[in-house]
Amino acid sequence: MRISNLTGISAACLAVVFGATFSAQARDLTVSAWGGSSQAAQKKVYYEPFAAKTGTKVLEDSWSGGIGILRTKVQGGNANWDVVQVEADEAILGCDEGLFEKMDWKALGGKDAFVKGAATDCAVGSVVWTTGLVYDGAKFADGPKSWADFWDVKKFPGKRTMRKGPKYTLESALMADGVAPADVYKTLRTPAGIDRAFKKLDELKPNIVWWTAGSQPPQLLASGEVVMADAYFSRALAANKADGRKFKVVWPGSVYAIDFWVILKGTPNKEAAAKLVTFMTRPEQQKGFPPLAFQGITSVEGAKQVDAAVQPSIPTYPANMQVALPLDVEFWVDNNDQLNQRFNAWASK
Amino acid sequence: MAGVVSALRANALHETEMDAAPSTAPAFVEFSDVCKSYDGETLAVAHVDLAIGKGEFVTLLGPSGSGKTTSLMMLAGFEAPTSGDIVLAGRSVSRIPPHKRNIGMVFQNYALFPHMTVAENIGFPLSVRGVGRETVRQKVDRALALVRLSGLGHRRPTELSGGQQQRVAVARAVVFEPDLVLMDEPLGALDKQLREQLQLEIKRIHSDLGVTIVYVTHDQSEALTLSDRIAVFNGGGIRQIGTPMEIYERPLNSFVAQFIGESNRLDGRVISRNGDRCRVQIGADATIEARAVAIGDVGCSTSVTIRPEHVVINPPPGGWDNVLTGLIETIIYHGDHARAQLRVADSQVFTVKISDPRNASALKTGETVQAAWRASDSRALDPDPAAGAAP
Amino acid sequence: MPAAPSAPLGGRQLKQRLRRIQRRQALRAFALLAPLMLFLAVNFLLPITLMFVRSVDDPDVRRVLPRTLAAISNWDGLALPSNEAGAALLADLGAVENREDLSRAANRLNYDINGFRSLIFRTARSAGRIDATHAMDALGALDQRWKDIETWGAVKRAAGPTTSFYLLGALDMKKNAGGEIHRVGSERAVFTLVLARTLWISLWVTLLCLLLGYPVAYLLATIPSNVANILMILVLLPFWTSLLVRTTAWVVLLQTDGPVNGALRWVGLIDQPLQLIFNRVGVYIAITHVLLPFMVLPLYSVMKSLGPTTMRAAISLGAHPFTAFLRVYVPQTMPGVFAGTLLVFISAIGYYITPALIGGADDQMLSYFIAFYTNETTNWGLAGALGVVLLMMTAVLYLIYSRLAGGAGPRWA
Repeated sequence: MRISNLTGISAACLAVVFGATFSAQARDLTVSAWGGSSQAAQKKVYYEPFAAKTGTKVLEDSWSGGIGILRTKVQGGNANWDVVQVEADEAILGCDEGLFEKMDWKALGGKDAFVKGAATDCAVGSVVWTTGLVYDGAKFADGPKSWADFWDVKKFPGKRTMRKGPKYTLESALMADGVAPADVYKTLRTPAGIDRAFKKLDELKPNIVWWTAGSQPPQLLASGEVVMADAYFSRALAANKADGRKFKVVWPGSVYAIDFWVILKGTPNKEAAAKLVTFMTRPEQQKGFPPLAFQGITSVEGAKQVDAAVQPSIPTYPANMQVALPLDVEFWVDNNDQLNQRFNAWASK
Repeated sequence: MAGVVSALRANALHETEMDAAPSTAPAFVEFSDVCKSYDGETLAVAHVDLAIGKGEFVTLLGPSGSGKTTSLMMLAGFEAPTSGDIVLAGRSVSRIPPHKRNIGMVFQNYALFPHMTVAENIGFPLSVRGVGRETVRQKVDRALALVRLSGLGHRRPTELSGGQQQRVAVARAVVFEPDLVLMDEPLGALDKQLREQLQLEIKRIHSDLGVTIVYVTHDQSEALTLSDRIAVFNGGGIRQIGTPMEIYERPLNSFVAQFIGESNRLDGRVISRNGDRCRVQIGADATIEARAVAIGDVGCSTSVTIRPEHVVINPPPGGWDNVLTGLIETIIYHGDHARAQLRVADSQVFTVKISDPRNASALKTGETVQAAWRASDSRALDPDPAAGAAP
Repeated sequence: MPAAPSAPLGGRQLKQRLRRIQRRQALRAFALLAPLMLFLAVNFLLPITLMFVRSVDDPDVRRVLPRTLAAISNWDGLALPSNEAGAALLADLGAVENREDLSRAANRLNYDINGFRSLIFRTARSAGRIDATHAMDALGALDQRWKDIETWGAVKRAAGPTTSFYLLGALDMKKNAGGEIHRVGSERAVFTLVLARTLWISLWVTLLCLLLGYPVAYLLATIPSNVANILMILVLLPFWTSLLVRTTAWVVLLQTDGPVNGALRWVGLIDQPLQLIFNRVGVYIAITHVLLPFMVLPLYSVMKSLGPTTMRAAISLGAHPFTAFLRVYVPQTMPGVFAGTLLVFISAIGYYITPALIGGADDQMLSYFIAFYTNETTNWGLAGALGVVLLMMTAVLYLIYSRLAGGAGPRWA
């Protein structure tokens, strides 16, 4: 009898430990994106109007990426997110691994309604964003115009900040070394090309301050710690608007990429999630996003309707897109691990 | 306690009142008008004068907060006098830092170093003085033998009993042959039996080594047993200083009378005075005669103290200076003696010690009896109200 | 049991009753401990076990390429495998139904050789169209990497079910196709360096914490408790804000035009601003600040229990206050020093956000890589192996340390 008492106690304990898991069943539609100013804009343009229109409550969460987190959520059976904003490589890997629900392209209006690369089997593009050369217009009257200028510490003395990792950094190095944007990934796919990129980075290494969080470069520029940055344009432009900065962005040689909406596999809110994604990719909703977030949108029709004053500040503006380099997602899916390892080995020397 | 008191009685000296025995040797330690204040308002130690001769065993006795420990700490150098001076071996200590005073010290909670063995503890004062290893070993062995702990040198202090630990502390305090050993309630943490045993040990070590010892305690029986002289502290100052016998037999004030041993106190008013005798009115219709020790003029209030062992119940008639009628409240049998508690003179409590307890069996609670004593055994002292709070 | 006092108990009866009482007490104790044990099992033992398993587990490729692995099981790794192996590969890839499994296997091979993932997918797309009779030639024609021995070596290394690939990788080592272990090229050898750096930074942080924390704890333990309480709040202040906020605050304070440099220049100590951030100095400052309470608290609790008497005893016995402090006080605080340094060191080993935000590129600590492989590239095998290496290293250091401390810590603690 005592034994059975104990069993009862243990069962109760188990219930306490796992209670949180069980109670996660019936929950509201939850969307997770990058947080910060971009998610604030999304809330205003997408989540709140959607909730108002359909009466579906939308909960928000934020994360900073990583396919591992999604894998844990889906395979661990503890997916407390339904709609998630992911980067392109996560969209590819997750789709290959079956972490996402398939997109209903009929409901979304067909793949042709979106910019190139923004439509895949299980993901639809959410934003188009750019990373590239940013500088403080208040410091240089005649600022840098290319990656070669970024590397030219005689002409533009001072420190630069770059992302602490190989992605975007190697691209910039090769362009600084004279490789045409169109040839960057072709070069990077050869061992000699990678050596060339690291060799170019060697030149600038003493003058580089490395950033890890996207919020750092505008702060570093503002404090005068650095004079130039290889960083997200949207953050710099948002700082101009919010804090009255005079940051300038250099479109030639910038790298743009698409982030995606995905629906996590096995969600109990699948229908509502699909509705939300459809809502968020409609031109009439998307056009309100760039003025708030300084990022591009994926709907072809929507891009045309964006406020003309904002057009030159977004990646999808034709003049910007022509001189920019699309991020080669497949290259990074293949090479991220080892180039990171190599980058860190290089940085340690 | 009882044993101590009777021993003292057997040796009772003739009464000579004002001979507060100045030490014969030149003072080795001398407090001159020493005051100590922590808050700038009240004095923890007030105007203390104290001279201690070389080789003397002096105890600072008093209730807690009476200033005795503070006085000791000033001597050791852990507190500085606010005013006044302390002279040690002819030098003012104000400019000698504590570690150069060459004083051995024993603390209440032993203060042994837990990370060292017993031998290392005892050797510590030698090693900080740069004594060679072999000499240290020999001296430590001797010190261990002195406190009867030979063979335990390799142990850790925590592996010893409380009594053994205190012996180690004593050995450590004397091993470097200091001129002066201070003991701050060293036996306070031990039980009664161990305490008495160690009292004898300390006494023996004192006579073996001939070292000067200043000893702080609140236990009067310990003070009486050990000391050459006792300084009774209260309220920051010394109330009386003298040999144990002087302190016990001839207290100069109510505080000392009440604090040392047991005293009956009869409060009253001086009605006449004749040389060293006086007559005191107690209660409505009783007067007693006592030694006039510390009284004011006729009409002033006074406390008359009588030791319980000096009182006789239902005495054979004749020869008694004072006889009071009392009502027996309780009779307690103590084995070697008995005690009767009476109410006398308007219900003041009065204890009588009956040295042969068999005599007590004739007495009954509620009975009215006569209590008698000699005037020379009773002392009329100041009417210190605080004395009422004596233990 | 009213009869018990009068009825004498037989020896056996007494023993039985005693045993029953003891059993009841044991069960009671177990019931009280059960929630904690369960908690520890779920949150501590399970993840560590999983970490160990992940670091040697290698199931992905054998699930997708069983025939290929069988065909190269006896391959010596000196020359290209036979045509049979190529045919088996084509058959395997052609038969894959579950893309999820293929993706896993491709990822696994990609960990070994850059670009293997796309190679697998490209080959799988063409598998149905290739004639198996000249499989090796056709594969070589499709992508010349199939003509490289090491490509096949990578497949063989991933044969599973267990592998030393990750653990070797975590030590900057690798097996070649022939099965010989060798160090990877210096352009990729990073983990041993980072491990050494992690231990080095942790060591310095621990020393700095001890140096700064010891006097603070001493002060706190010796001043009146009402003042000590206020100071203690200041010591604990770092715990009140999030790690990220604190780290950002340090960025602001230490930057080139920040208040620290400003103050130093104003005082006239320096002419040029010091580089205090994005280098090792900033990392030491920030981690030390965060971990200081972990040093102060154990020291304080030990010192608080000491009291002034042993110091006084030592001084009265003739020791100079400084000697007394070194020979009597400090040794008695060793349990606190032991606990504090251990806490700080082990906490410091796991830091990665602070070095990531405040350090330079060569100040990354091992946890950064564990997080990177766990979250970003899902190379859980390597993450697990790095974790195992870190855990082992910590365990070894702990053993050495507890031996050095003479086992004294636990005895007084």
